[in-house]
Amino acid sequence: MNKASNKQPILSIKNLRVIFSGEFGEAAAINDVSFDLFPKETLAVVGESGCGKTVTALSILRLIQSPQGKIEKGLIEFEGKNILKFDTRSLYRLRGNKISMIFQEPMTSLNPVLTIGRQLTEVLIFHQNITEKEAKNKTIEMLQLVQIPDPKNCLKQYPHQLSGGMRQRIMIAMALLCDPKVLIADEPTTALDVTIQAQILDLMLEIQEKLGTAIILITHDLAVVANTADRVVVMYAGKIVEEGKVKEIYNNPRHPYTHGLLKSLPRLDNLNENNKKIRLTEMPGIVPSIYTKRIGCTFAPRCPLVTERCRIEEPPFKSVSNEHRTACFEWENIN
Amino acid sequence: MKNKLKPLLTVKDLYMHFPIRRGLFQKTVAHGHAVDGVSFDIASGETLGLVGESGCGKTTVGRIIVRLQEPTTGKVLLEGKNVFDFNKKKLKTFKRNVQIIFQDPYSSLNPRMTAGAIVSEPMIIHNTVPRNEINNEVKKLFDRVGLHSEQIDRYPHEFSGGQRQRLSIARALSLNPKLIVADEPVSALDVSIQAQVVNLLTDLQRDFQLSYIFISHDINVVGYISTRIAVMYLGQIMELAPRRKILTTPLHPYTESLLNSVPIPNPNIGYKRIKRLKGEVPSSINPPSGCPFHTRCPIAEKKCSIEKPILREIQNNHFVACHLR
Amino acid sequence: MRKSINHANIKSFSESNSPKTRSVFKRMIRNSSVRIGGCIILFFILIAIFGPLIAPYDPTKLGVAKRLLSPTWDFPFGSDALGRDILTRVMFGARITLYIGIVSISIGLLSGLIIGIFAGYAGGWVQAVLMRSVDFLYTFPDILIAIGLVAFFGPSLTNTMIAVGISLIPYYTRVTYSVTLVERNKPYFEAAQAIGAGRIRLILRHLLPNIIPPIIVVGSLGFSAAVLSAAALSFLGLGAMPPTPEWGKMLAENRDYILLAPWVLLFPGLAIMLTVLGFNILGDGIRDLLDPRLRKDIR
Repeated sequence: MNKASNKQPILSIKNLRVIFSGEFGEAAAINDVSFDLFPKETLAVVGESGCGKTVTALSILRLIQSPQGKIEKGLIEFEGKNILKFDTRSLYRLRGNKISMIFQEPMTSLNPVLTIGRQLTEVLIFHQNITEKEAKNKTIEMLQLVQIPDPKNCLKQYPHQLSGGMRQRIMIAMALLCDPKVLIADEPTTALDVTIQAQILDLMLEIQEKLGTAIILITHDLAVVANTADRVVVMYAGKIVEEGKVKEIYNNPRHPYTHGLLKSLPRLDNLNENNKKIRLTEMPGIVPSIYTKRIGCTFAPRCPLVTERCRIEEPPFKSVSNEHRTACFEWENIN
Repeated sequence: MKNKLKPLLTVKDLYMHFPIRRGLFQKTVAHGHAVDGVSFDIASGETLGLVGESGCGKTTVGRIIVRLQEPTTGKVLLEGKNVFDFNKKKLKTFKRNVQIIFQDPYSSLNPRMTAGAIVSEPMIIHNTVPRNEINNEVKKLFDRVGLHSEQIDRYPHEFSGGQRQRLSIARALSLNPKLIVADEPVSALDVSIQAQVVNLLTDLQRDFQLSYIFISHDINVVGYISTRIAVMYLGQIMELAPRRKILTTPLHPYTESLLNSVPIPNPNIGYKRIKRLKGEVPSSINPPSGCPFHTRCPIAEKKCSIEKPILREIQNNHFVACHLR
Repeated sequence: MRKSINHANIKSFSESNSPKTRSVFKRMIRNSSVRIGGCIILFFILIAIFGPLIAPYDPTKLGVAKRLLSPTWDFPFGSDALGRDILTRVMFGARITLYIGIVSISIGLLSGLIIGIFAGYAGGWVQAVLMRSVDFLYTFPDILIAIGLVAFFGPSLTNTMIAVGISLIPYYTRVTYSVTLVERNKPYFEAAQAIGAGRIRLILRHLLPNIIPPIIVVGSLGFSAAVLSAAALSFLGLGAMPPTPEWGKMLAENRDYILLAPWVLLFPGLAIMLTVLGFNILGDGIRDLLDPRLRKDIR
């Protein structure tokens, strides 16, 4: 089931570097990040806190807060043009229209003093030259698509009257109103209950099948990635450490971090005998702060396979196979 | 409800209804049913997992057990004695036996106390350790939970999330309790740190013969660490069984749907979109009549909306609250 | 292995041995509001302490200069209607003003602290009764309360200070109460309850240290309010009694000469203004420091 049959990427990020300046000095939140997104595929960007996945997502739509944050280097190509060089007008025509984004907390992403109907029709009227009546009809269609019961009534409601799952559906609806080519979803289900999470993920996949949107899914949840993504990019401390098809990465991880992460998950499909509990594989240490100066591989301090070379030299990307690359010197020695 | 061994803690018919007040004169307009009839017991050395979605009452049950909250009715028996009958002195002793770890590592430690002070405070309050030996005890505890004794004079903001949780654990451990209520202890931590803390809890249980009430919304973690698991919904226990049984052969339709909704980190299993639960979790304010799950239950019948099912033993040590099982 | 890794973790955090106080101090110096406000206040405090020692003349002695003399070398601030040197009186006035500020704030802050903590901690009807009473008092402008009290007990500097202090109680109670509520509901407070801490320990060890920072901010801002209130009272004739060189009194005594000899009002007025400004800037600076700091700690 290869959704990415078209080999031309729809979005291409090259050598992205974002720095933050604060009280403790200047530091790179992400450094030298490059990856492509192909049409109709779901690409997951996975990592723990501080890895830079959200910063990467925000950079695509240039939502990084300045002056604290700045996109220092890099290229983000969309439809052949570099987003980082867009003027304000082009940027407005891009956001919510060709590339949309949904966030983790639906309550703070929705305006609490406007009705749902108003917030949704506003998007359509801004981007497309249609009448309010047409916008209203399109909105109702979209609400049906995201399985909101009784869409007409929903238009008159305010965000606080809806549950978390409902609000997230509204967010998805709002993001898809203008039929964007790319949807960036930043931890869309983290704040939701498990049963609601399953509904929302189902919905996202269904809609992708219907509309053909490419999705960048930002998450820390490796299980969600396994179930919904085609390809995955693993990030650690601001860098990409491994990238490839989900099945391949999960069956054959070629970076010690990915490997350690997968091994440290408690899982239901691996029930062992009760009395002899198998310890979860631990990765010692903590994620380094972005302000600590680093030489060599950022994962070296915690790596079980670390060598002297790793501490001095930063590992370049090695091709494990077609579409599978890893940034590790010892990638052949894993497992 | 009987385990083969005499239970360490018994919770019996616990109800916690809180009034919703509105208006100038704070008139009670409705009641929130946070806990709606919960009973279970837990033996020494076992881990009871309380799992459920928002509004199920698992956190409230935990807080009632450590007496941070008062129930509306019900009993909590520690080694046979009702803790709500305890006078001030017995209550203090009770606190030595039952402790709690909170979810948020960033606000569960007093930011103006050093790590050492935080961990030694329980010992000072209860006078369990002579003053001149407290420093030693603190060092030992730090060691036990994997913290360096050099960090004793540091302040909480200098520790990472995982380290702060270790501090919370050390604080709970300092009184040598018999039971620790762990309220979402790893939910706010990164995945790689979760494994560290979960392993730590497992080790401590083995070394100190601790019992845990492990409260979490994350079924994977609960499934890993528990001996028995109780699935809660809108303030009631829907199913209670040993871990393996409930995860492989759940009997309650809610448990089934819940387990089906949990994503497994295995891309080789095709993504199943089966048995998806429709609708939202209802509010705990004026909950549905009869069985609280009947509004979303795929096999609900007329009886389910009228009569509340009782948690009864269907198979050996496997309890289910359902009319149709 | 675990030990060495945890040891490595320490290096990524601050290395000073009294980490919190030292870095707070460093940030304080860097903050420009604190620097400017602090300098003004420091200057003012120095005048208050050393002024009377270096003042050229006697503040109460009449006729040291010709009456209403405009500023000259001998009398840099000029002289007032009774021939007293204004510079000397302003310098002596600094001490009085400082005194007023400290006493009023102490009364207001301490009482507000006690009532606020009590109300926030007790909850229930105690809280309701106390806070509604405070709300009731709060509806009166504080100057009115001060006037009322002074009118009742008779005008004098001491009574002024007490009255101003009392008028500040509702405000401080409010602030303390709201901060107490916030901290009281935090997990660390509940954790302390769970480990068996008694009421006294909860309040002194857990509550108080965490509500002090915002209290410091409002205390600093309140200082300027107290100074203004006292000056206003003196201006109205209810505060300091002649010949006390209190700045507000100086304004009152000489207001008839505003067109004739404006310097008589200018310098005491300027002194009041600078002091108030200094405390306001300082308070703002401290507040800026404490808020993001706390946020950073909480991360």
